[in-house]
This record gives sequence, C-alpha cells and structure tokens, in this order.
Amino acid sequence: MGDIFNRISEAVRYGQREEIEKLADEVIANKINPIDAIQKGGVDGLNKLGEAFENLEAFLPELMAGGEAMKLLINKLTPYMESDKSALEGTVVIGTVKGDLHDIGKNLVATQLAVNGFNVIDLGVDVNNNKFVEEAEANKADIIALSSLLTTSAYYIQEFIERLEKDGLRSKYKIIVGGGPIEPEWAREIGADGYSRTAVGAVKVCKELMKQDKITEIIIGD
Amino acid sequence: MSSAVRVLRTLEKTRTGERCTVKEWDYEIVPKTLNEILKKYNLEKTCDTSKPVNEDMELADRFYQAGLEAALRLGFLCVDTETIVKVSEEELLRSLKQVPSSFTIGEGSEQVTVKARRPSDGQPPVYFGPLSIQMNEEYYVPVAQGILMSRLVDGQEGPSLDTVMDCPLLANSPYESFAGIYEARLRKEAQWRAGRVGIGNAIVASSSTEYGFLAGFASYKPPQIVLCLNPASMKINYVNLHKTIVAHEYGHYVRTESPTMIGGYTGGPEGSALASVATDLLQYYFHGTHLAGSPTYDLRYAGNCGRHALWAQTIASQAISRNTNILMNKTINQVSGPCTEMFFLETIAGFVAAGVSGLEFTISPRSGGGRHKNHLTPFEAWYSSAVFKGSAGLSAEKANEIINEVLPKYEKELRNPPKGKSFPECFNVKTLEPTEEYLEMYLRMREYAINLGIPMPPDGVVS
Ligand code: B12
Repeated sequence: MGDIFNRISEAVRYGQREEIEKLADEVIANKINPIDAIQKGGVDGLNKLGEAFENLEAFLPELMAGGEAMKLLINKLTPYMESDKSALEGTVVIGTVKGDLHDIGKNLVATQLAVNGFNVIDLGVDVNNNKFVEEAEANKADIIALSSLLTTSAYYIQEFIERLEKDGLRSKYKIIVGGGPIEPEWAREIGADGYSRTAVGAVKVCKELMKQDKITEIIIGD
Repeated sequence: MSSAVRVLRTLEKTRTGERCTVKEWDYEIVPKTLNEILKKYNLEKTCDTSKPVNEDMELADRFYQAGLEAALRLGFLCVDTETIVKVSEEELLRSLKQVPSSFTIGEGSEQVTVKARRPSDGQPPVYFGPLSIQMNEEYYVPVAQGILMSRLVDGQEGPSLDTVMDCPLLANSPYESFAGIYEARLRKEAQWRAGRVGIGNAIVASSSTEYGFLAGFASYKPPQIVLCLNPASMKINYVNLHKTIVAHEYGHYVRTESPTMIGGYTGGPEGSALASVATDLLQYYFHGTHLAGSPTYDLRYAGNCGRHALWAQTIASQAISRNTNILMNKTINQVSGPCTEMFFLETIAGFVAAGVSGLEFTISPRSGGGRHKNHLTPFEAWYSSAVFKGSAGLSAEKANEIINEVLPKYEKELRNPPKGKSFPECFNVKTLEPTEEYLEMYLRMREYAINLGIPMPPDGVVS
C-alpha cells in the first residue's frame, strides 16, 4: 500500500494528470481508503512540491500543475468516500480588484488554495465589484478573496464589503483580503473576515474560515 | 524609422499575431521555451550564490546569445488582444543598431545625460527618486522637497498620492485624471522649494492607468520620461501603448518595463535572467523605448536584494551592457523600511551589484518594499544614490567582497523584514530636520559603506 501512496505523491509533485487518473482507478479497484490516498499520497506530494518551491526547484507553473493533479485526484475519489460531502475544502472566488493589474501574488494565493484542495475560481485582474458578486453567486462560493497591491485600488475592497452589507449578502460569504499595501488593522477596520500576509498563510486562514459559521473576530494569518 | 511607424507596426502585429491566452503564455509557452534555451546554451544551474555578482564574462555573453534566441522565439504577448507579437532576426538586429545610446533630460543646471555604460564603468549612473510610494497629501511636498535637496538625486518620479484634495483617488476612475494634474502642481512646488526648477521628471506616479498621464502631461515641458510599465514575464498591453504613442508624438522619452520573477513563470534565477535579457532586447523594436527595463524580483519575498535575485539581475545587466548600447533601468527593491539598519545593508548589496554591472539608470528607493504608506524619507534616497554612484569603477570581484560582507547580516530577515518608521516619525515635516536617531544611523552607515571601500559622494546637506 505504501507503494501506491508514494506513486500518488510523486504524480502530484510532478503534476502528472494522466498518472493520477490511473492511480485513482487503482485505488478504487483495490478498495483502498480514498481519504488515505488523498492524505498519505496527495498531501505528501503537495508538501514536497511546497519544499521544492522554497528551494527554487519548482516554480509557479509546477505549483499550478500539482494543484490541478490534486484536484483531479479529489474529484475522482470523492464519489467513493463514506460521507457524501466532497473532499474539496470549499469554493473560493478570487481576483485582483479594479484598476490593479498586479497578478503574481494573487496567482500564488489562488494556486496555493487549489493545491490545498479548494475549488478556486480565478477572475483575473482589474475585476470590478459587480463581477465579484455575480461570480460568487453563480459558483455558490464560500469565500471571496480580494487582492490589491495598490492603495488606490484597495478603496474598492472597502466599497465591496459595504455593498454586500447593503444588499443583504454579507453573511453569505466569508471575505479574505490581502496584497502588499493591505495592513491587518485596515482589514479589521473595514470588516473583512480574514487577512494574511503570505499565500501559505492564506490557506490556513481559509481553512479556519470554513470551520466557522459566523466570524466574530477577523482571522489574521501570517 | 519614425517612432509613429514603429508603434503603428506594433499595433498591427497585436491585431494579426498568433492567438495565445495569457494562461497558455505564462504557464506553458514561456517556461517551456526558456527551459529549452537554457539547456541548449548550457546555462542551467549556472547561478553561483557565493558570487552574487557574476565574474565570468563569457557566461554573461552566453546569456546574451541565448537571450537573442529567446527574444526571437517568444516575442511579447499582448494581453488585450491575446496575440503574440514577434520580430524577425533581421529586423531585431537592425533595430539594435538604432537604439539610442544616450539622452539628455532636465534644463539648464539640471541637465543630466544618461549614457550607455559597461561593467565596472567609471562613469557614474543616473539616479531618479523616489519610487511611487504613497504619501498623505500633506507630506507630498515636504518629502519630495527633502529628497530633491540633495544633488545626488538627478530627477523626480514619486512619491504618489492616494487622495486628491482629500477625496479618495480611486484607481482606474476619473479621479486619476485629477491626480495627474494635481501631482504636476505639487511637483513644481516641491522642486521650487528645493531649488531644483528645471529638474527632469519621470511621469506620472499617482495613476494606475493612462488617464493620469494623459491628463497631466500638458503640465510638463518635453522631454520628460514617461512610465510605461507592462505586465510581468514578457507581456505588453494597450494602456502602455496609449502612453507610448502620446509620449513619442509630443517629444518625450519612453521608459518601458516588463519584470521577471524568480519562482514565477520565468522559473529560477537562470530562466529569469534569460527572460530579462530577451525583454530588454525587444523593447526598442516594439515601443521605440529610450530606457528599457526588465528588473528581476524574487517572488518568495517580493524584493531583489537576496543572492539569487542579485545574481540574476547582474548577469542580465552584464549581458546587455557588454553587447548592446541599450540604456537600462532596473529597480533595486529593498524590503526593509526607513530607519532600520537592514535598509542600508540591502542598499549596499543591491546598488553595488547594479552599479558594477553596467546599469545606466534607476529610480529608487523602495523603502519597505514601497508597500507602507508614508514610509519614505530623504535619507533612503540619498544613501541609495551615493552607493550607486560610488560603486562606479569597482570590479565585480571587489563588489562580491563587499556584498558577501553585508548579505549574511540580513538575508535571513528578507521574508520578515522590519517595516521601519514613517516620514513624520523620522523627520520634522516642517523644518525637514531628521531625528537624532535617524541622523546618527544614516551617518554611521555612510561611514560603514566608506570603510567597505565604496567612495560615497557626499549628499551636500548633512554630509
Ligand atoms: C511587479 C510589480 C509591478 C508589475 C506588475 C506585474 C504583474 N503582472 O503583476 C508592473 C511593472 C506592471 C507594475 C505596475 C505598477 N505598479 Co507595481 N509593483 C510590482 C512589485 C515590484 C512586486 C509585486 C509582486 O508581484 N510581488 C510578488 C508577490 C508574490 O507578492 P505580493 O503581490 O505582495 O503577494 C503576496 C502577498 O501580498 C499575499 N497576497 C497577495 N494577494 C493576496 C490576496 C489575498 C486574499 C491574500 C490573503 C493574500 C494575498 O500573498 C502573496 C504571496 O505571498 C511591487 C513592489 C513590491 N516589492 O512588492 C510594486 C508595487 C505594488 N507597484 C506599485 C505601483 C505604484 C505601480 C504602478 C501604479 C506604477 C505606475 N506609476 O505606473 C503600476 C500600476 C499598474 C496597474 N494598473 O496595476 C506600488 C504600489 C504602492 C501602493 N501602496 O499603492 C508598489 C508597492 C511599488 C512601489 N511603491 O514602489 N508593478
């Protein structure tokens, strides 16, 4: 059994989707616990990928490929799990707000979330507030993640939260914010549910947000 | 060829070029092509972190040859049309012969000339300051005046505003048109107060789109430098083609840029250096660029004063400066803030590396990564310029000796840099007098740099 977990880990680490297809079939055919396959295989591969990224042995494209392989693994195994709840952590709609074209930090956050089992819908850059609402509604999002690298774009984040309040949609979504000039105190002031300085921290905060029904105090990650 | 013809041809290519999505470009085409070329020229794993400034000029020339191939095979992606714009070898080589090797900006005693340099060139590079760091409206004039008080600063770009007459300056909105005009007024005031009337400008800092520039540019007498900052990893967009056209037609200088990111689509230090060389080679052909830019940042800490980024940025500069007359601008991106020793150490490493590698021009400082509002003071600008100019003529070997002395003192802190102190915490904003603490630190760190062997020119104000 250890062997198949190793093979899954490898396939996720190197983003080999075809290999994952085959390995998932093998898991199903041999009645291996799908949760084990995900945890001991997939998650292990992701950890290795994360390490490789830190050591400049893997880059954003490889992270993305690993994330896609992991998503595929989860999607294939979910129907065979005891509980019918998806093994995906939740759905996140993410984008860089209006006026802002900085996409690298946002892409890194989106990729890290996908790599860690979130269903991520990436709206790209220069996204206006209406679009965030429309896409969150259409995709039944749990979390809306807003990135801004410009102080002059960050105004739109504040407007966004005020607008959700006004439209009676605020309690439907958890909102996490981040990007270079965003300070945690400001995130708290404008009523965001989560903030993180780094992409890895963003994953932890999103996992925490998913656990809580109602956020009374903003969750600050590293 | 006139610049109008040049840019019209680029526009035509954006309409007719091969289609490619941004996602395909970033995640497939760029990484795959760069990797193939790195292999072909034997450039993989050539980054030697014990020598942040490359000492092997044959290697730099190999990066140049490989960069030429990358430029020809890739071209740029236009993100608005999702098409690839390409150039033939003959056209590219011809354009490289036409690249302007110098330009002059500023009036009267404020005139400065940016001239092509080579590695270890004794001619000092040109320094504009500061970058577009956000300040409260009431601090704009005092901080800019303070920075320009030293003749070490040859021209002005920032800081930038996030309000206009106390209204929120919303990005990509008509407020940006106001900002373009308002910023021009504030600059004039600051320049006059500093006794620098006629100094050159890089415009416009406080606008995320072309609006601020289009609104503000009538307030400036040409030629000034127009900022046309394109998306990272070999991409261009229409916002910056708008700016380019207006800049050329009214006699300004065009500064284009598309950064590369270690850890991002361009891969490691080698891939990022390669993409930077390719980017610098392509900018004149497509934009008629006067100042080409392709800085390299390390995505792990959003700066470039760590070993990998120093290496990538210097080898790319060496490659271009040894083989062409392209005038380059690269940003040296500190991550620590004002009134921290780390800021000065990062500055020594970053600017010595840049200064000895043939870089002609920069705009700086990026105190605190430029992220924290009001975290910018005159000392960071003066110090950065003194190191940059002072390093002219040093050898790559001497540079490594200096850098290897300072790097171990801060490299572990790059991920968690100190934010430092804000302008009003460091200076009296009315009298522009520094606090005792910061003055002592600044003078001590100047001494430190001099003792390391950097002949720091005086700032003319406190030293
Ligand atoms: C690269 C860059 C560019 C590139 C962008 C390329 C691209 N495709 O993204 C180019 C050259 C185009 C550019 C242009 C401009 N830029 Co710029 N840019 C940068 C730079 C150097 C790095 C940003 C980056 O990619 N970092 C790497 C990533 C990994 O870090 P990150 O984005 O911060 O993301 C991390 C965290 O913040 C967090 N995070 C990010 N998003 C989110 C979202 C959530 C939900 C969470 C939880 C976390 C999170 O996780 C990420 C990973 O750890 C920064 C300076 C700096 N060192 O940060 C300036 C900077 C952001 N730019 C700045 C400015 C002013 C501009 C311009 C307006 C300049 C001008 N006058 O024209 C234009 C604006 C263009 C536009 N409309 O957006 C300023 C912003 C100042 C401010 N307070 O508003 C900065 C800080 C530089 C400065 N002051 O000198 N820029």
